[in-house]
Amino acid sequence: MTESFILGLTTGSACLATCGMTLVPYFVSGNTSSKRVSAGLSLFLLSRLLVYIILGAVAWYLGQALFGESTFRPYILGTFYIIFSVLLIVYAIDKGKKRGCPLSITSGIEKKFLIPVSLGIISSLSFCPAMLIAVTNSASQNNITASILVFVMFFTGTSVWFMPLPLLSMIKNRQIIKTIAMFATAIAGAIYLFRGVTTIIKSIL
Amino acid sequence: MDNILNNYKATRNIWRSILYSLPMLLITLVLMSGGDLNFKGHAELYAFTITFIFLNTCFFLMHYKGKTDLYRSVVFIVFAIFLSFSFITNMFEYRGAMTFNQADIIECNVPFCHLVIPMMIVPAALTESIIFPGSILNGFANISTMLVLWGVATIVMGRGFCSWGCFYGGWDDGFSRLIKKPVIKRIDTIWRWMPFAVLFVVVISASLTLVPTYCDWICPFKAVTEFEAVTSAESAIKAVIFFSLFAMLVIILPLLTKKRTQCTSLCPLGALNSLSNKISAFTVKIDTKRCTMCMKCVKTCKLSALTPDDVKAGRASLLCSKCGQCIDTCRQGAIQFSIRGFEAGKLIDLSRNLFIFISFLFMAIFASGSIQNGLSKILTLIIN
Repeated sequence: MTESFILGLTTGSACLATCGMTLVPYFVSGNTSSKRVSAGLSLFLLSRLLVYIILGAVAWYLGQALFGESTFRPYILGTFYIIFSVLLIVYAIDKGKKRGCPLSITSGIEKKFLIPVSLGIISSLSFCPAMLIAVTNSASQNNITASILVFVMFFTGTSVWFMPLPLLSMIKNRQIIKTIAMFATAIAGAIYLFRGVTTIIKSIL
Repeated sequence: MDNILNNYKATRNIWRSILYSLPMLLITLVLMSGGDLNFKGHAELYAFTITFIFLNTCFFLMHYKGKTDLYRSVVFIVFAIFLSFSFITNMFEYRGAMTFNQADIIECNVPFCHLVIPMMIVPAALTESIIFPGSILNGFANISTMLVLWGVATIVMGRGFCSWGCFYGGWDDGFSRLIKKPVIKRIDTIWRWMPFAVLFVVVISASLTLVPTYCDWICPFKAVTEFEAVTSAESAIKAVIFFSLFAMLVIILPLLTKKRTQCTSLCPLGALNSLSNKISAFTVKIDTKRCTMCMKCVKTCKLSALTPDDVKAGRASLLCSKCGQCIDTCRQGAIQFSIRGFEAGKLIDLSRNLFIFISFLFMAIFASGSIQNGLSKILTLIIN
């Protein structure tokens, strides 16, 4: 569980670096009152949590269905960890590619209540490599509660970064912070790459 | 241009340099001998004498010749080599091997290293315990002594600790000086922010797992000090990581780039020390009136702490380790050590003399023990 929290905490910084500036205008636009900001942020985080709980249950089901009692279970999990961690590293260091934030598709929504909810749902379902690692981690658990907990911890780790969202526009050296966040994500990828390799080596030995 | 260098030659005075070096001579004599000049044998006496002469000659020349980095790096590199040599030989004497096992961890017999400091702070504040299996007060590398030395050094020198106090920095500094011209010339300055990401990840992981994760899994200097005995697949992989990172970041890349790549792109303590540059007493400033924007300082900086923007702004960046290389390189004399609060170009000599006295003294205190110890062992082998 701690691992998922660390994954969320280290990669959440990159989420914020990519999507933070898309979210800021919604939360701190013009004369938005602090009450409204808090309500919007709460709705955003609650919808994320809900999606993550559902994802945890789905991941557990997939894990059981695909490799529940299989002797190849550690090989499959190890391979998934390796693939997704490599993707995470590439995602972090591929600075030449301009990634648009998927949240920008919510710009067409008119109902104010639906905006934070849709922002929460879309940001949770972005299926970035970090999220795929969380899915693998969740699928490797033995019971559904543990699988959901993996996602709750991942949610908690990433949410730490969204709490000070309204203050983001006040940060001066945003580019440096973005760079550090991307490196932190790559390191998280390296940790899971190592985990994948050790999982396979241990099962061979 | 030569006029400026000749000006320094004209003002340098051997008697002034001797006078300036006298306090260092006395302090190092007292500190190195511990007030007792009775030596156990010839090897110890010779080791003491050689170390004493070596340190004080370098300090004298630093003042007399006006070159900071040249003489600093000599001591710094010798310090790193002898530290590893005396550390490893000590480990063989006490444990019979360079590796440590679970018993050493349980008995808190692992010598403390300053690279653990960033990972210790949060767990110490939250759990009132230290997440390192070392001794708090006993032994030759105990936790409290190292913490006090690091704390004082960073307040006074900021990241200067990385070029005057760190006993590992001399390794990549040394390899970065072995070839004349870099093979890889263009290095993206983005890499200099990597240590902050490493710091961020290791602080979080150490705080949550209560394990010094950097030391446990990443530190390249395990290769020249001590590491966990290889008894499992996990410990074997750890050993591979330590040795490959050492080969890559401490030997190969410094050779190819002429940069201290380990310090620039990995060390989490370097990142923490950089933050202390904001409050430290000494800074490096650039007199923009004298600067010709030749950018030699940018090319020569081993920590990539200077960019053209920094030069235009008249100050070194947060990442500066005050090694003095840019100051030695600048033919215009536009770059100077400065006391915080004073403008560039003011109190140049006083600032430099104060800074190098304090920093060199710190390095001498740290280095003398290791150099003496290492030399004494080598001389014992030769004499016997």
